Amino acid sequence: MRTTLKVSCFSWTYAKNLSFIIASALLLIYGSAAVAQAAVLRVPGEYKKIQAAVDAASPGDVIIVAGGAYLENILIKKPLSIRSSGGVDETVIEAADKTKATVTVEGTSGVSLVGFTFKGSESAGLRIFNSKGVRVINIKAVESENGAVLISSTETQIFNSNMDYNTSFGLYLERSQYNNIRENTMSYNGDKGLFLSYSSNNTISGNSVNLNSWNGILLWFSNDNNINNNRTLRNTYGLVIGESSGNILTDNVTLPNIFIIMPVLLIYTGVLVYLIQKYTVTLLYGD
Amino acid sequence: MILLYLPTVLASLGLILATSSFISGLQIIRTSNPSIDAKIHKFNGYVSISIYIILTVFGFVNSGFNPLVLLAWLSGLSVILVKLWIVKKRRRTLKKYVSWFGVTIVIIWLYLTYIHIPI
Repeated sequence: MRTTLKVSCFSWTYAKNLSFIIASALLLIYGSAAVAQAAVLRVPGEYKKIQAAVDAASPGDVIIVAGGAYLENILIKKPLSIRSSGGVDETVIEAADKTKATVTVEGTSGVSLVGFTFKGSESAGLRIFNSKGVRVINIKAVESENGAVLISSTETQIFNSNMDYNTSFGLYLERSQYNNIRENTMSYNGDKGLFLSYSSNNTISGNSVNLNSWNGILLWFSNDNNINNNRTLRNTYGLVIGESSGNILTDNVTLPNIFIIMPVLLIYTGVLVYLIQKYTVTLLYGD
Repeated sequence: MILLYLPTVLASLGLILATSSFISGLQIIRTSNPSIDAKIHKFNGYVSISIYIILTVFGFVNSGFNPLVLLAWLSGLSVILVKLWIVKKRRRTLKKYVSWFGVTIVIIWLYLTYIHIPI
C-alpha cells in the first residue's frame, strides 16, 4: 500500500514538471516565431521604393519610411504596418501614374498607415477597396481628384488626418459599413467634403468640414450613421441628407456661407446705426 | 460654442460702429456745430478700440503669439489713433485726411470681420 502511494506521488510530480517544461518550450517557440514574423523593413535604407518593401514584406511586418519625396503608386494587398519616421509633412508620396490612386489598399485586413502625405492623383490619394480594419492615422490626402476613397470596406479607422484641397471630394465612402471617421479635416475641396453613398452604420465624429464648394457632408442612400460633434462651416450646404433614414445627428455645428453678403449688410447697418444714434443724441441733448 | 461665435459678433459690431464713426467723423468737419456728431464719434471710438483690443487678445489666445502679427495689430490701432487725433485737433490742414483714415478704418474692420468668421 505504501509502495503504491509513493509511485503514485512520483508519477504525479513527474507529470506536473513535464507539463511545465512542455508548456514553457511551446511558449518560447511561439514567442520566437512571433518576434520573427514582425520584421522591420526600412525605406530607402534596405529598399529604394516603398512598393519594393511592400512586395518583400510578409504579413504583419512593419515598414518604416524615412522623410523624402517618393514618386510611385503603391499597392498593398497584405496586412502591413507602414509608417513614416520623418513626419507627415516630410514624407510625401506622389502618384507616378496619375490615372491610378497614389496608395491603394485592396482585398486585405489590418493594414496600418501612419504619417504620410499622399497627393497628385487624378483618381484618389488613398483608395481602400474591399478591405477590413484598415487604420489611417495622421495622413494628408491632398491635391488629388479625391482625398480618400473607401469602397466596399468595413471597420476602417481614419483619425487625425487631412483630406483638403482636392478637386472633387475630401473623403468618399461607397457601400462601406461600420467605419469610424473621427477628428479629421475635409476642407477646401472642389465639390464635397465628405460623401457617403450607400454606406451605413458608420461613425462620423469630431471632423471639421469647412469651405467646400458644394456640400460639407452629404449622405445619400446611407442609413443608421452616427454623425456627431462635426463642424460644417461656410460650405454652400452644410449637411445634406437624401434618401436615407435612421441617421443620428447630435451636436453638429453649421454656419452657412454668408461671408460675402455679411460685410455689405453690416455697412448698411452701420449707416442705420448712425442715424439712430444721431436721433437718440438729439433727443437727449437737443440741437 | 460662445467662443466660436464671439469674435465674429465682436468684429461685426466693430464694422457697424466703424461705419457710423466714419460718417460722424465726416459730419464733424462739414457742420459748423458738430457737438452731436462729436458725441457719437467719441462713443463709437471708445467702443471700437475696446473691441479691437479684445479681438487682438482673442487672436493671440487662438493662434499663439507672433511679433509680426502684433505689429499688424498695432499698425491698425495706430490708424485709429491717428484718425482720433486729427478729429480731436480739428486743424483745418489735417481735416482732409479724416475721410481717408475713416475709409481705412472701415476696410480694417471689413478685414477683421472676414478673418474672424469661424472655420
